[in-house]
Amino acid sequence: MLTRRTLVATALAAPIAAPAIGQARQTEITVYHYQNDRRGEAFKDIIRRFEAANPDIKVTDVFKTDATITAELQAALAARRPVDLGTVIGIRVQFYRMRTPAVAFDEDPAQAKWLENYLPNFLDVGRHGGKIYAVPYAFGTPMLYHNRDLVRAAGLNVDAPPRTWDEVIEWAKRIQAQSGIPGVAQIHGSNKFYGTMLMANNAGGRYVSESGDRVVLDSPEALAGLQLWQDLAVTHKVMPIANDQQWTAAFLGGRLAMYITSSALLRQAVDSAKGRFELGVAQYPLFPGRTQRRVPNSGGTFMLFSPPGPRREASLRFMAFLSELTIANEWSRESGYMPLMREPLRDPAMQSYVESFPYVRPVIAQMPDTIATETWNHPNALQAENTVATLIDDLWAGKGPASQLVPEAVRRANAALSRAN
Amino acid sequence: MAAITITCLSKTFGAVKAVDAIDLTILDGEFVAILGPSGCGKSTTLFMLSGIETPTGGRVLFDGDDVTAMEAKDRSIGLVFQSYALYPHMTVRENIAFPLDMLKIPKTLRAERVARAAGIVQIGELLDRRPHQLSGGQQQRVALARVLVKEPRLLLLDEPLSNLDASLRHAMRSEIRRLQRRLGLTTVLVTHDQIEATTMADRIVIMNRGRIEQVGTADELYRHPANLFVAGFIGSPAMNLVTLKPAHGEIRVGAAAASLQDRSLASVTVGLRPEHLRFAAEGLPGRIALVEPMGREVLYEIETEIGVLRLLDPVHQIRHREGENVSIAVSPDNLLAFETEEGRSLPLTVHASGPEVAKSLVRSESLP
Amino acid sequence: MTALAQGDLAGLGSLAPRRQRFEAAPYLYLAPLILLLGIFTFWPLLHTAYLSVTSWNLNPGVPVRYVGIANYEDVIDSDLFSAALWNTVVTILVSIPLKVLLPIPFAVFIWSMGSRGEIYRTVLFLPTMISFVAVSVAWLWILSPLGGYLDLVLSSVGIKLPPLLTRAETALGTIIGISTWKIFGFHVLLFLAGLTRIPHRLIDAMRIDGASDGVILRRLIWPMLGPTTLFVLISTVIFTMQQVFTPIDMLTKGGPSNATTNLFYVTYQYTFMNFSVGQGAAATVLLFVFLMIVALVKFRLFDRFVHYR
Repeated sequence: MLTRRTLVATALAAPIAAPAIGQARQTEITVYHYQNDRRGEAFKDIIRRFEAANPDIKVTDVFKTDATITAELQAALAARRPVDLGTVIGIRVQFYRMRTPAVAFDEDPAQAKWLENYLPNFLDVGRHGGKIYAVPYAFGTPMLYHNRDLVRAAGLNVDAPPRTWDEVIEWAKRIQAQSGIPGVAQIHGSNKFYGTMLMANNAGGRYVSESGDRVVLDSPEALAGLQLWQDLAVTHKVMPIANDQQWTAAFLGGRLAMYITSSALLRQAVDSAKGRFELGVAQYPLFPGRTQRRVPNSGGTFMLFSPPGPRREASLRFMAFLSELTIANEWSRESGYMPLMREPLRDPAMQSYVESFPYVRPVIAQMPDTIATETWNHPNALQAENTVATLIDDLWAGKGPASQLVPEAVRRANAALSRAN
Repeated sequence: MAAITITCLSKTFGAVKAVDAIDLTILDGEFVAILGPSGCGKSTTLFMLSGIETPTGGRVLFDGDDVTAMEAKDRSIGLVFQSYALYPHMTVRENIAFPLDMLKIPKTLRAERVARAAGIVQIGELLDRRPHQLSGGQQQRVALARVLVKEPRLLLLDEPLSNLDASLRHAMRSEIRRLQRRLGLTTVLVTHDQIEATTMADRIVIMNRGRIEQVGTADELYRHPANLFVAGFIGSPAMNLVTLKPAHGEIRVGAAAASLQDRSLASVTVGLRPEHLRFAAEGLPGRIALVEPMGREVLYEIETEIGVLRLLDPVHQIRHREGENVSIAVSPDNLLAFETEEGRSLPLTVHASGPEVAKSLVRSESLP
Repeated sequence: MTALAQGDLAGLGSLAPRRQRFEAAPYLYLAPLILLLGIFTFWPLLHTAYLSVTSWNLNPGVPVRYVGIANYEDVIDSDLFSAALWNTVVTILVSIPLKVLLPIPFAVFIWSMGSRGEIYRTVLFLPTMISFVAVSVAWLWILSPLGGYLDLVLSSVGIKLPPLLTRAETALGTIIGISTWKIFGFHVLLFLAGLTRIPHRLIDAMRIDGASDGVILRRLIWPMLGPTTLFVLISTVIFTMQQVFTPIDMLTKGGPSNATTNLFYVTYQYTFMNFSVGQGAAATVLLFVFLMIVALVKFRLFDRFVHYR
């Protein structure tokens, strides 16, 4: 019976209930993301634009710094909190594929056409069994940052940056002799995995086998790469022993002449150098005797965790949005990460970006030389990584040549790997 | 053993003059008590004698040697603190042996001396206990043993009996006195309790507000107090103090009369000890205001024309009730006169007492 | 008993059938505490022991596999663990004189200054109030061999600062030094509290007996500080190992060459960086056993030397 009271009650209740009803038809997805410079605004902006274009989807984002995103994501998964898209560092992609409910993006190829926008070698990191489990979004490649003022002061040709490692060593020695400032350092990353992989790759070898479950640093090529790393510290004495944070701060403060680190640092380097010194960016140096550089691309990828249904669909739609050429390039420009699309310069916005921000030119030029980052395909690689990290420490301390220390360490690491379940 | 001389000794703490230029001589082997209310400077004086406080002015001499700047440990003194200051983590034996350890006495000799000191104060069976296992009296004896073992030339005691209960106090009083006599040790004792001072010391030094009021034997202080402060401090119950206007330089209480030397004084304060007042057939009229039986004697508060007087009657029975009219008499030899303002004692000449006055006196003038 | 007549006993009738009534009240009062202890202390202990014989990766969807003592074998065999054990023992042993004994003379000095010692007390205590994370970051920059604060100061007098945190011989000592600096003021405060319980007259008495400052320190202050010293010792041993986790994580991540890792950090690495929960749990159980041994040694050894009044 529609009494007056019922009508009034309904009239009062309607405006309160309406938004809830409207929201009930929205699909909510949760995205865990990180960004190098700790701001996360650029990505949040993309999210807002996606929501505006897709009112039936609400995106909740959880932003963390790279140090904690791994732990946050794992904790969320373990606690069965809703996770749709989560950031996984390239090295850990296979690990997550094996141990979490991650699903392939192209499970249903019809919903994954946007994958074709990417440069194929960037998707290698997430490839397994013919499917793609990880899509890069915050990638970098190692670049040779240098302090042009110090270079100039040492009487070197500042417009001809070193192309090979031998030239880097030469530059470092000259700068050190002239100014007393240490010459060069290279980022080594957590457990020194990244740096070791980089030296091995560029010399033609590998750290982890293709199968992902053995250490292969005892190949002649990898050995040579590690020997070079030792020489920098011990023989040529151009690399001061410190850790990543100290090297980064030293370079940005003008107290380290050359620093090799990810292109992801580009924005921060430019901002820090302003008013302090003139920044130079060059491609990663070639290994002596080789004509092609071989450097990993790596960084943050997105992996998909949604259960089948509307959340998974919504997540894939978000990825599609993110993968549009203009959006992806805009993200690259705002964040400073490497562009990931095929032929990025097709986009006129990108072209004018490169004109106005010449630092990014060597980064784009290096993109075709990049290979997928190596990943572990083993559930318990901690001990092995630790053994290798200790090996590098010992090399830098000059406890013996690479030919002597490396095979022993590799043997121990592999023993630990085969023992662990 | 040492004779002590203090000249012009002062101690100032910030703006406060704790001890104000005092002079004192103590003979070798004498037992002197420094008596006074709290804050009078007696403990400070003691500590300056010991060396743990440095004087701000004046000198301290032991047997003629100036020890003012000398450290406590070199003065060969023994100081017993009010709290005994026994080392809680050491046994009694170790406590007593400690000073010998510091003096580097060889171990064999040490045991002998410890045994001797323990024997003097009779704590031989307690040597292996810890201080917290001892009673107050036992702790005090250990503290004494610890100073005696050094064979000091001066013994200093800071309120030694104040932490003991009444019965123990009595026993310790005689014990300390006997000990001192036996050893012939120059001793200075500080106390606020006049009974302690009068029963133990050869001479008493009365201090008030950093100054010495009077030095003398208990008898001297009792019979010839130098000023109002001493008069009021010595004797219990306290002396009655009344203001009288002398007539032609003469003061009169009941039938007792005496003359002042200075006849020009307009008013004097007269001191009458309660134990010197007697009920008489004739005398100063008064009315009983309060009766306080005190066991052995009875204390009466009597309103008279010169003020409220307290009278101590040395008999057990209550002889008068409240409200009764009585007459009070006093021997003129027991009259004391003081300046009303300055408080200094004034000499009196006693008139020859008439037979009526002599009859009214029953008691002799001995110490209460 | 003969004096008590039958009638007297009859009056005590209500007590005669001596059946104990069950009193619920104490248990009700204890219940919340027991519940909290059960959930947050005892159940995790048991669960950890259970996890240590399984293989699991924190993923709720993946089934747990029973693997017996394989985890323990893995952990014990790894150089990571043996380095961690060694470092933990070294840290504790070196920390004891630095954090337990060294604060005593400072505390005595400040105590002897009376109220003028306030400023020293405050200054010494400041590092304790700063978070360890902030402290670690600050020291990272101070100790940077590339233009860090200390490097600049030493360079101006011609000394080159060695890379203390990145050289295996000095890394652990540096971390112990930083953690000592941080806790020092707090321990000085604890000792000051202990010192205030020493009656001042005892010191006067000792002085009169001829004791020098050194003797007073050795024979009066040190013994009477016994309970405080024991407390600081126990708290140092237990908390030092845990507290160095922050500087290790922020400054050296266990390196170089495993020189600074310790049992806590290794457990963290196993469980939260590698997600091998089984091995992390095994490492935790081993750590627990280690701590039990330490506690036992302490109580056997030191209980005799402390007297409480």
